[in-house]
Amino acid sequence: MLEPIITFEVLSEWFGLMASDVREVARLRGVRPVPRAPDVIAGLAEVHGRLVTLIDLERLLPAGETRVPSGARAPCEGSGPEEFGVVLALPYEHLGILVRSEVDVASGVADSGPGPGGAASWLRARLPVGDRLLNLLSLPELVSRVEETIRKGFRPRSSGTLDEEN
Amino acid sequence: MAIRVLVVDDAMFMRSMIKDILVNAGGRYEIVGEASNGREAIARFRELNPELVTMDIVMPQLDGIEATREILKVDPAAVIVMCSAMGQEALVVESISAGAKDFIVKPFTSDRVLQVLAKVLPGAAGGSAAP
Repeated sequence: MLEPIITFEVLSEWFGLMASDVREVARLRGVRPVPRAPDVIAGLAEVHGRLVTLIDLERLLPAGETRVPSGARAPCEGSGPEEFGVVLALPYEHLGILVRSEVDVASGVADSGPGPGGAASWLRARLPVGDRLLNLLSLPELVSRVEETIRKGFRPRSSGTLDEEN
Repeated sequence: MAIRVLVVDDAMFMRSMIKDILVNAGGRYEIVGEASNGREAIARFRELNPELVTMDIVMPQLDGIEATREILKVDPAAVIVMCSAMGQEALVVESISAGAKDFIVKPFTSDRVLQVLAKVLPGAAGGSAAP
């Protein structure tokens, strides 16, 4: 049975999450970077009065695919394309994916066989949609990877760090 | 002697932020435990008897305000600082009425967190981040 999939682009790749894995898609008014936070955290943004921790998918992806080199990340605040938060449907955590592209809806079959596995276990499936290949993300795997990174903690302080915070 | 802190928030990243600020405060604080909802906070408080609790307000199962009330029944001298998001003024007022000592607004800055904690716990004097 076809189910709705929330889709977006990260760099040149097309990603999606089952709509049931998404609480909402919110236009972000401002993303506040968090100094020394783990690399995969793009920052914090307020969505309907809740502070959402935004995942930088560009940083989370395994090296060698769409991963961007250090320092190449677009600035979080100010200029640049419109930003959206794809807020994940989780019972406790307030996590979202920062998206700097159009967010759209496609249809696909959720259980279309096993995912790619191996290094790409964060993918639930690779689905052909029209003439493109959609990387359907696995919500549990995505959250697990983010939590694992957060658990490792913040980067050590260096002189001048406090200045960044104020 | 480091002040023993219990960090309560349903968002792991928020707990991580608080922990980072406190562990970099020149040894003045020791994180003794974490909880991700109000019920867990009460259980961890009973178990660990921390000197300070940082408490998120909106949480699943049992919110921070109810958890504060329950903890203060266990120990009327408990020092609890609420962590609120912008726009939660009414909840902050209710928290203070429930017995919380003060509040900090997310997203946190080191200076603000340490300033508030130094105010509610004179033993944590210093009020600025570690060099």
